[in-house]
Amino acid sequence: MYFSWVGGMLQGDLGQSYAYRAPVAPFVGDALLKSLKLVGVIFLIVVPLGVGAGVIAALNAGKPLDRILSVASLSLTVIPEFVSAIALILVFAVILRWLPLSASWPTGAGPLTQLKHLILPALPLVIVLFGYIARMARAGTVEALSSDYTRTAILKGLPWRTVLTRHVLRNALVPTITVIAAQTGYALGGLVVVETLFRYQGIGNLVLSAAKAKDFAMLQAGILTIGAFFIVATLIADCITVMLNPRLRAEARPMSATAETTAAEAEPAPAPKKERTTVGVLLRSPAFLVGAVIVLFWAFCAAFAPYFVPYNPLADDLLNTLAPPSAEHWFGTDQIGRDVFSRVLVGARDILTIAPLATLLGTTLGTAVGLVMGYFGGWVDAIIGRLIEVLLSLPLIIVALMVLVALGPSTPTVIVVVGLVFTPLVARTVRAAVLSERHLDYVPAAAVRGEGALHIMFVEILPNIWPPIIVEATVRLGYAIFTIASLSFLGFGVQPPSPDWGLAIAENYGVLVGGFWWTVVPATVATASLVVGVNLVAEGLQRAVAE
Amino acid sequence: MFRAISNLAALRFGRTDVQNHVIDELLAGRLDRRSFLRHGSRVGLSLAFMAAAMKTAGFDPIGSALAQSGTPGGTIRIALIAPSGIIDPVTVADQYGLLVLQQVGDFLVMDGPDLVLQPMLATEWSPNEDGTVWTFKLREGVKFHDGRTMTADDVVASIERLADPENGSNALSAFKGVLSKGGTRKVDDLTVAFHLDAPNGNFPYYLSSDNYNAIILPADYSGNFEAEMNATGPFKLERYTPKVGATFVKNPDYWGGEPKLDRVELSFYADQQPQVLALLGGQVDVVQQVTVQGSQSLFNNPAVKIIELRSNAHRQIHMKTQSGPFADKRVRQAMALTLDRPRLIQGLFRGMADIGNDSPFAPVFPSTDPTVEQRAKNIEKAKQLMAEAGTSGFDTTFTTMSIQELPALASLIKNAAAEIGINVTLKIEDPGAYYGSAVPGQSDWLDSEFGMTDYGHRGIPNVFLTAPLKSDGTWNSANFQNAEYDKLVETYVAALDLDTQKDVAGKIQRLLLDETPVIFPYFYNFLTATAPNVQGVQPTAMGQLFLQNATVG
Repeated sequence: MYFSWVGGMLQGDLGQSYAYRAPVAPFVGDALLKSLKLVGVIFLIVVPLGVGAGVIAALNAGKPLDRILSVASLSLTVIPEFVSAIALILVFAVILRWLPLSASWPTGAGPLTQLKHLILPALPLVIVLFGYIARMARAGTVEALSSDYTRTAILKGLPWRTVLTRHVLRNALVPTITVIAAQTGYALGGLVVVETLFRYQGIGNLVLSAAKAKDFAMLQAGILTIGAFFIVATLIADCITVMLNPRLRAEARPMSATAETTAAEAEPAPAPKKERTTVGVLLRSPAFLVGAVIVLFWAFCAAFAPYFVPYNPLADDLLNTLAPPSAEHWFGTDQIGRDVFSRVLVGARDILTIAPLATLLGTTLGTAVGLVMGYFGGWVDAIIGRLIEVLLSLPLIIVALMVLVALGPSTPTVIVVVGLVFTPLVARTVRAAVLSERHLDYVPAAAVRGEGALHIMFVEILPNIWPPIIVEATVRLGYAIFTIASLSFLGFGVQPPSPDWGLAIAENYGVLVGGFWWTVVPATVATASLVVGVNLVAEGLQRAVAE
Repeated sequence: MFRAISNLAALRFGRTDVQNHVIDELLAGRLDRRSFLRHGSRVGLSLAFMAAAMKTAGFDPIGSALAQSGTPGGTIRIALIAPSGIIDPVTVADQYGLLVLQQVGDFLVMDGPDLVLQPMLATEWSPNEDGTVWTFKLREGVKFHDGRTMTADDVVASIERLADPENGSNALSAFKGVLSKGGTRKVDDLTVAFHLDAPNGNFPYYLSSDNYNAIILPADYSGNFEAEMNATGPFKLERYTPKVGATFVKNPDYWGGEPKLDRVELSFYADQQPQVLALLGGQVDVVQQVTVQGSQSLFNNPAVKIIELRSNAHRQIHMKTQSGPFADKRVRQAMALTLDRPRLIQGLFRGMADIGNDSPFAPVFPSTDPTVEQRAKNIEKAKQLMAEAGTSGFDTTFTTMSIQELPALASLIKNAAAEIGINVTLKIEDPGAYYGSAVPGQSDWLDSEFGMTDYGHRGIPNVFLTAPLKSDGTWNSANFQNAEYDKLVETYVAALDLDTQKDVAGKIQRLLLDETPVIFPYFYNFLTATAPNVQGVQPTAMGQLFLQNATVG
């Protein structure tokens, strides 16, 4: 059965769709083409913008402009696509009416009209990717600026412009391209959310609707296509990297550094270690304090909101539906007359239960795996390392979707899925920490004392690597919130009638265009504030640990 | 009065007994104007004849709804959701594909917006004594788009094609047990007789626009409909692009007179939202259907006209009757008593729906017995019934689909059930996952203990009465098994006159109200949205838009 499927697949036969009772291949081909158009528009906008911002930041390193760019890109990167999309829709499609809301263009539209329809759907992903690309471009430029060849070029008396374009930019772009390629995979995952929001019939939409309808042939084909696309994108990036700088092959030094960063950036990381110094300088304690206040506020709401909100968040009032904000209902009412203000406050509860639990699970498992990898090293490390790479090659959302389809959406499933997905990421961090500890005197000493491997790992090493684990856990919490909110929005997380934010946005998104913004905006702002808050805290911790 | 009766005696001459019975009922005052029209048309009395009869009985003649003031010419642009498969009259199974069929093709009979049958390609029809053979007279001189004249051979071939299980025909769901392959026979060039599997008093509805696959095609139809669309309709195919749209030009030789519009343009959309925006932005003139959920911006908007059509489209809330907490009918009655139906209609539909009384007999069906007492919210009585059933409450899961107002209604049902101690967990899934394989054991729709399903509009309640409620019904989510009910439904289906139908309907309504296997909270109206300058569009609650008298501007 399986072999005949693989055999057929190799011949281009992806099987029969259950829902459409027709071969899958034409649907997938069609959807892929549409997604590629969208991805094309995304990169067309984000690459010049991101590289430009990165280079400008590098040229102004340490100055206020650099700081502003860093903070902006960091904050934008951590906001879930559906949240930024709602804001963009509200501004550009509903209020200003500059851009069409729907990604599908009218019959026989020319390329320009198509482009106009694709700008709004492209922007949420542009926002997320902008941060990565800008940061990589900035790091690359800073490195190139301080390199010997740049100094030599300047000393030779070359004009500054020539130095910049010939020497600095060329080298600075190498790591950036690798990041762009790695982000293609992420972009394909993000397409699930964006294409759903904008009703665009691309590959992300195809995977999601196949998952929801349990159309397995279609789902397999869609995921296979995304995987294949990711591999091709990575290959192309590698080729371009080598073409731009043949020395890389021989030297391996910058290449390995790049590879390490790429892996760490495989999904939306705000700012892991490598920027410790700069970011640490940039973000002083005020940011941490603001983050902590936001997080504590929502934690307080999650725990106690049901006892002080003015209305029962589940109580309907059919004679008072979609009422605008008033003294009676501060944030108005939703489609069945429930009080939006009460729902938003109580809505913190689900996400602030599920996300920390998933983080705890991922951190615990990841720490155990990382300890084993780092402590034993050798082939154990190599095998687990390879497995991790495979796991990380698929976009997070898609992995989570696959498992949720197989097991059915429920709160425990979401916790386990997100926890498991985080395990390899945490393991990688812990492994690195263990490697730096393993050769310290106390480890061989314990071994000489005759302690077992388990004792050394968990009693001797673990207490010494707490700080990076805590930082990692906080960073993961940010992603857990991002991911779980996205899953709820897609209908795979918390089930109605929970006032959960992602769910509330999904339920009321349809009436947003009718001008009933109050049903969606509060939950959107809440999600954004929580994610940014957690990331500010993570940044603060990271800086503290680094110092 | 004497004169009236003598006129009617003249009118009766040459009519069958069944037809005369309808006239009698009109005279005796048992049929109001609307019901008379509907039942007269069903048994084959022509509109002109009925207008004469009603004049005699003191009614006004049929008002001319067709009077138009718009300017002829121009193109009407219509937005609809993309049809899910290829356009072939035999297999089309959705509300979007049928709109394409109906622009280029005609039915033998048209079921108008008020459920009154009107002649289309057939001019008259009548049953034999027991309703097992129905004979249809065809319109003379009807031309296909390629110029050939339509004859009985084309009609026989078209209907036989739909009744043949080999063809994957979507019309089989209607024809099964009613009309089999071989039952359609030519009498002469302009007469066709339908020999039915069982007596059926409502057979003309099965050949009407309600059976949206039943457009008449040439006998030598090639099977490649998308390329030719050769039929007898008011518009001719100009261009069809799958997933994108279609354009049609007027058929100047249309038997019903030259259409006023020059062209019809259909644009396919993925969803309702962009259609609503396209209408508001002036990119389209008509949106085939809008639902209240999601198009709130269209209501009370001077830039939009809403054509509101009463329909019997509804939601069925089933409870398993053979096992589990709902096996006791008092628990089911209690659950039904928790719903505040007028409020549901107000809150979910802005009042644009008819109240349901836990049977498929919607107020819009003329055979519905209006004297059956309406169930209303009564928590006290519900609690009492729960106590009598020996329960103070229980946990259950409510399964339904994430479409239109269903998730909102599910949340409301959860709140309502909580008032009598029933703790409901919601499971809201994609329609594909909900229907599953549509066989027991592999379908949440059929397997769930407590759930909700959407049902589209039908011209007659027959399918609603059989598939979800009869003991052997294939959509029987409630596992309802009741021999008395099964017998009543058989009697109802075979009944030829309205009196009998109404009498049996009353019994069915009372039986279902008592047993409550399914809650029918409301029957919501079919809403079509148009620009203010559009006139003469005639929708049906099936989703058809008859455009031969339509104008823009």
